[in-house]
Amino acid sequence: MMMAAEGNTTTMNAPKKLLFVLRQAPYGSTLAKDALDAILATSAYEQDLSIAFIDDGVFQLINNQQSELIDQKNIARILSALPLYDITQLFVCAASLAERGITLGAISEDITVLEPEALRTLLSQQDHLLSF
Amino acid sequence: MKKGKQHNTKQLAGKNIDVDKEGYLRHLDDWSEGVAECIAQEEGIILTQDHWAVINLLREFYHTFDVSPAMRPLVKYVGIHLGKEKANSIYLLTLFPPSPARIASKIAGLPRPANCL
Amino acid sequence: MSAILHIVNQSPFSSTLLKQCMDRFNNDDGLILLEDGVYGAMSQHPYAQNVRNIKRCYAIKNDLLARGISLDDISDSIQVIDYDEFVQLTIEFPLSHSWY
Repeated sequence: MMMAAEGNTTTMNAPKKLLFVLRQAPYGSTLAKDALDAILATSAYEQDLSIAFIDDGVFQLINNQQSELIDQKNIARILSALPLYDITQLFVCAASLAERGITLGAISEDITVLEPEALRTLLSQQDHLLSF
Repeated sequence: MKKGKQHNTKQLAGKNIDVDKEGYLRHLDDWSEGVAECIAQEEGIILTQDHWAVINLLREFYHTFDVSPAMRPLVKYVGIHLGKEKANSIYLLTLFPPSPARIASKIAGLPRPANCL
Repeated sequence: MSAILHIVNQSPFSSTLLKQCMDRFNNDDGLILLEDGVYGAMSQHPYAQNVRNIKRCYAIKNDLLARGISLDDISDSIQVIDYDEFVQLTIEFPLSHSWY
């Protein structure tokens, strides 16, 4: 898996702005689950953590996943635990949703929908980008 | 996250049960209250009502979210369901020393919390 | 706003990866084409014009040559770089993002 490189230099203890960019569908590879493991682990370090679901990553948000039928952990259910880990900055790409015909009713409600320009700005305002 | 490859079997509550090398159950279905009492005993813990409240809550967390909680989410979840006065790590530490999220998960028959420091 | 160095490793002829990257591209960002991503340096794919318009676009020399892509065939706007220059760019840009 490839990760981001150097970020902006700030003092050691200041929280870094970390954006996890999730671009893959939930069960076609282990990347979605790997990303969640990394996100939950990172939450222990009290950084300024946010998540952007773009491209096929928006499929992770679909309600009513029944992943037990294919013996996989349920990505949507794990995502619903994020508030308990104090992870509340969730973003989804409006264009990716539209492209796939996904309505907001079909996904979790506690998420900010970003138009292309706002998404580009979000990406450029981080200290680190972590792509999964 | 380490997943032990070796298959250890352990006599718990009169049954042979698969556990990993750290003593966590390999199959959630093997769990029973008797099994919980045996694991607790090995950890030097005698289960009281207060313990059971947390154990049952942990199992509910796992069934809701498909993941064993680390300390912080566990404390929050306890606060929501068992009351604010119990939502602190000291309380959980006195029940499940020395590492509440890990020890309580083990007794509850759940996987080790992957992100537990 | 920090400039992002985008890194793309799949062919635009078989994957939408390059398009997905272009959709999130800011003006000051840079693009590196590597592995099969270097096919994005060719002029016939649907996003070739977008690639030509990028001020800082790079392709890995060894990946081009390994695939028999002549350096004469790619757009003048694309700089051909070696691995050391690649590393240098990841240091120079405040942010990197790998598309794969």
